[in-house]
Amino acid sequence: MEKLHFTFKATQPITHPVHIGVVASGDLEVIMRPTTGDSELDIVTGSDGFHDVWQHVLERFFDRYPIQAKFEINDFGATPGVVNLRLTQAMEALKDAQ
Amino acid sequence: MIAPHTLIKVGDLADLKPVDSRRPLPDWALAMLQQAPYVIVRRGSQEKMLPVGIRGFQKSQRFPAVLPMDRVTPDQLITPQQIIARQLLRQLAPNRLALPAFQALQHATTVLRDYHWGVGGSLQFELVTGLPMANENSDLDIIMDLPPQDLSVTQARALLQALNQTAAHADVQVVAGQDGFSLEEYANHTSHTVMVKSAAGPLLTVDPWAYLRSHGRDDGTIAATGETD
Repeated sequence: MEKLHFTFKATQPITHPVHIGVVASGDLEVIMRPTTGDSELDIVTGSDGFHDVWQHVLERFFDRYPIQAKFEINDFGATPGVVNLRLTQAMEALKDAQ
Repeated sequence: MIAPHTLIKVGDLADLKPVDSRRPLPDWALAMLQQAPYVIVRRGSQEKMLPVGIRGFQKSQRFPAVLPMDRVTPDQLITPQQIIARQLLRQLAPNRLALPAFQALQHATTVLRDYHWGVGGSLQFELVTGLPMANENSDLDIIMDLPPQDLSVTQARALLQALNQTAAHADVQVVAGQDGFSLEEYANHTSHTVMVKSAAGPLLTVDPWAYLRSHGRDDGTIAATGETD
């Protein structure tokens, strides 16, 4: 198990918390909460040694969606494809909630 | 089509190739295959090569490999459903059966009496190979065949609640062909979409039941490349 932390500059605040995904192998859950500072991401992952993969996935995400939120991500061995899809789904849920 | 989560007893270990030839099988994988020559079918195209996974004792020990389709015969296969149908749980030693996840499995055999289902993950591997794969923290991974009737969100919640009466977390994946979705995600209903894992990769759909009914049955020859799980 590995704990990762990332910080990104963000400009689009959220007003409601969002909880997407499930605790299941090959999957992950994403929780976003409103914040006032930079976007802080705390990631707990069962697959060690994927810091750079996460960095890459998250850079691409924040390039498209500079979401200002406190992120909590619990990863249970999801593939990068599943991670991307869950982040996309979280964006959809945010749009629905705002 | 050989369903994902099916275990294969590999006849000749030399048939097993890494997905990436520059990344050979790690030592733990070779040691594991010597102890029990079993691999698990992963999602993905099954045109010439079958995507499989090697599993080790540690959670981080997972390794993708492929097997030539023409080297796999039906007698080598054991599905999650066959493990339940053959009542392999009865052969388990009492000290192993005492683990929370096996207790949860025993409980599930009553709750899911009216469903066609099986067991995946570490419990599946232990029941087939006899190796001590489960531990105190193992989840119960249930693989449920798409039932004749869709479950409502309320029915799904009730079923998950009935399953989760023991110390281990019970997770249900509803499957048809290579497609599958998490019943818990459907029951939680925190988004208007649900993720379906398919041979061509994960996707989002508003109605996972309808998706599985229309796609899940005849995806024997999907020409998918790349993303699998």
